[in-house]
Amino acid sequence: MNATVPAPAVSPTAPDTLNDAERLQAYRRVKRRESRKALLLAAPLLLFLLVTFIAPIGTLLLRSVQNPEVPQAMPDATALLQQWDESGLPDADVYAAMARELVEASKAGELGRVARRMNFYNPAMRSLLLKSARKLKRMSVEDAQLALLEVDGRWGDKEIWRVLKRAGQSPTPDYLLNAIDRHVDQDGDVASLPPEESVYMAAFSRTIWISLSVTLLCLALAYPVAWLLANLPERHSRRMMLLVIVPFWTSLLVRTTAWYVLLQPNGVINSLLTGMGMVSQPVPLIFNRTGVLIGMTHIMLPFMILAIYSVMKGISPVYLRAAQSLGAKPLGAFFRVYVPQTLAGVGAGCFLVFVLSLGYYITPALLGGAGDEMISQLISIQTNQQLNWGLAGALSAYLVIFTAIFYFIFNRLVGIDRLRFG
Amino acid sequence: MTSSIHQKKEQPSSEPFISLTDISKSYDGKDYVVYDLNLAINKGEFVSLLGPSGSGKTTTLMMLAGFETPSQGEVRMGGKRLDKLPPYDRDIGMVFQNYALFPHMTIAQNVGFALTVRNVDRREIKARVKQALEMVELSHVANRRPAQLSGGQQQRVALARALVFEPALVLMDEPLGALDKRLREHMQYEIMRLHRELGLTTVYVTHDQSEALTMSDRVAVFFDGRIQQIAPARELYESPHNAFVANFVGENNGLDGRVSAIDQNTASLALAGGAVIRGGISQSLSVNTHGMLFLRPEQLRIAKGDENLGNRVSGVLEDIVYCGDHHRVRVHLGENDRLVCKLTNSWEHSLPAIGSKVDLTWRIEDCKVLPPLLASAQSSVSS
Ligand SMILES: Nc1ncnc2c1ncn2[C@@H]1O[C@H](COP(=O)(O)OP(=O)(O)OP(=O)(O)O)[C@@H](O)[C@H]1O
Ligand SMILES: [Mg+2]
Repeated sequence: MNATVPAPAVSPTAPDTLNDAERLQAYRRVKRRESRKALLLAAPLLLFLLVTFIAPIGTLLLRSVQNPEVPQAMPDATALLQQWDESGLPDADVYAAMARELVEASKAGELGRVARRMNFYNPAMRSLLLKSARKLKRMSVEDAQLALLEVDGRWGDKEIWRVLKRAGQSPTPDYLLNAIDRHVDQDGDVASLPPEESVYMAAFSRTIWISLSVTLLCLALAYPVAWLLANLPERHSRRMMLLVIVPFWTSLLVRTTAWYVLLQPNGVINSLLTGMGMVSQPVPLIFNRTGVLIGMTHIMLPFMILAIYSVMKGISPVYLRAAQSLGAKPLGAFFRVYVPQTLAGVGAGCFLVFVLSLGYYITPALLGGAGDEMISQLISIQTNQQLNWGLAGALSAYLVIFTAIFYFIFNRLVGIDRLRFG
Repeated sequence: MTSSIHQKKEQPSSEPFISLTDISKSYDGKDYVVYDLNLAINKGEFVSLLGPSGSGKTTTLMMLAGFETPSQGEVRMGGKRLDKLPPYDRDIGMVFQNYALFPHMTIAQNVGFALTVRNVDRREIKARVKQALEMVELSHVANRRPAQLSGGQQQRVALARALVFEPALVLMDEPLGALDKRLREHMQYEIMRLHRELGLTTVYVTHDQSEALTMSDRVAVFFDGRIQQIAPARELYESPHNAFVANFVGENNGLDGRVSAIDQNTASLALAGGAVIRGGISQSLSVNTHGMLFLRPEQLRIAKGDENLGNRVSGVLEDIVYCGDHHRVRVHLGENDRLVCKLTNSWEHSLPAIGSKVDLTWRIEDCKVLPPLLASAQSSVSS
């Protein structure tokens, strides 16, 4: 606020005249008080957002690089392993620490967590750790290296120790690499996972592809409807608007299950089609891409319609008349003069639908088949079934990053601040 | 009315450039918003449509432009039926009330639009746009967007856009309505200059009478869906056809009365208060019907001694208002009859006091006895 404050207009002899500096100070005081008041009004919301939104997301994203399980349960072995140069087998003291801490962790009930963590690297690790701990507990250990090798020959495998060393590193890039079907191989290089373990890149591109298809379908369906809404006489457009809004009052799940019923091989739509003799076999409409696209498009459609409508409502019909009076045929006038003015709404609608679709979950889960999993479904599986929160966090991080990048590109191209969201 | 159409068809040589014949328009099938309208416009003429809000001016203009179809009657331009052509084939340039400049295009693109849709060669478009912008003195804003221009500049761009394709007719719907007074006056001259220089035929809608009177060759006064009178400004002002025109154009004193006698060019009107006034007549009137007397405030004088210019009435001076270059004096004649007179400042020292009795006098030919309003267009479609 360095703007020059105009000099007082009153004569300088007036006793209540403030000099410039004092005026500026007073002005700033008032400004500060106003912004404090505004902050106070927004404080409950900010607090709510912090507790329920920003903090959980932050924690989840942090999870994607944290690796606490192994270092916590086996502090000594982990620390010693970090000094191992990976040329030969680790030193005897590493074996000793490992044997001791395996037993201790098992007794403390922490080995389960370690085993689960190691399982994410290599499914064989789980049984190796649990079996070794069980057997070590029963024998008296003198030479740890011999004892471990006796319990299981795999303790002589360098690869096992390498994985354990990686598991001891926190923060770790491993989850983030896993989420894009990569890992760090024996040589310490980033390499692709074998094709049968690669699911996430395909899921990401599928998610983007489905979102893009849904966005384009919505746009194609919504544009004419929005036009009708904006141009019909008030009486009709109000009624039509109700039809657009009603789905908002219905739960997402209800709408999805309705499609679930309608799209069945012997559901309403197929009965109609076969009944009218248009097809002889029921058309597969569900548990495939078609079902996902139908369901998601239906659910996203109101967003697109409202975004475009809100812009169209503000476009005076006089522009079309002006274009025609200048010699443009109705269709030409529409595309040259009307459509360009709706682009702000189209942009807003596409942005909204695309971004919402990226994170979609319920509808593809119910209406899609094996090849239609979207990234949110995989995140949910990692969170709820596999309990691999690190990987869930990493997948989420990519989703968030992609959305942010998309936002910036879109902003550059279209200009978010020019968009109107209703 | 059908006979008049036949008459016109018999003499095609004298056919005006544009003719609206027996046009009626109803939006809802019940009430006419334009009724029985006949309007002929010559090439190069500047005709204003003047009238109060809702009198059907825009509707008439829209029927010319092709955005509304007449319910009855026909529109012709240059001998061709116009009402069968879509708006984009009519070769009519239009300036809209709020300019309707396309917000997503630059000024140059806006002005060039009519040429672009006609697939004119790009180099020629550039040259003609440049020329059109020079004409309205706006070459320096060619690459800006409409939102970055002031109201007056937008107005001139709209003008350039409507003229760039050299249309046969230019329509303007209250083009200066959104401008402040000074700019409006400036733009009036600007439009008149263009009209003169380019030899345009122009139909101009306004509800500002001074605008209509100063700019137009002829003014059509609209009321209630009908043209009440169409005439050059002077004629409109000096010999209005009916009470509405007399009242609407310029300031007028109106006195209600009963026609008590008629000879050749004058009629006597008996006021409610008993006074009898004589005035000129231009319309047929019959004795004992209702009549209205119209008298411009500047024609009145305060009678000195037994001065009598032809009419003389007495009343009580009600108030005096100082208006800079003149005084307005209101005199109460009795009942509801009042006269306002505009007195030059030379009267200042001889003005009687408020509440005192004064006599007013004026010439017989300076006032008109007129029939009340033309029968209005209230007639519904079914009748
Ligand atoms: N599209 C329409 N549908 C129905 N009625 C209309 C329509 N356009 C105008 N009207 C009616 O027709 C009458 C004349 O309207 P018009 O717009 O011609 O008036 P105007 O003289 O241009 O008035 P203003 O000075 O306010 O612009 C009005 O009573 C108006 O309500
Ligand atoms: Mg109008």
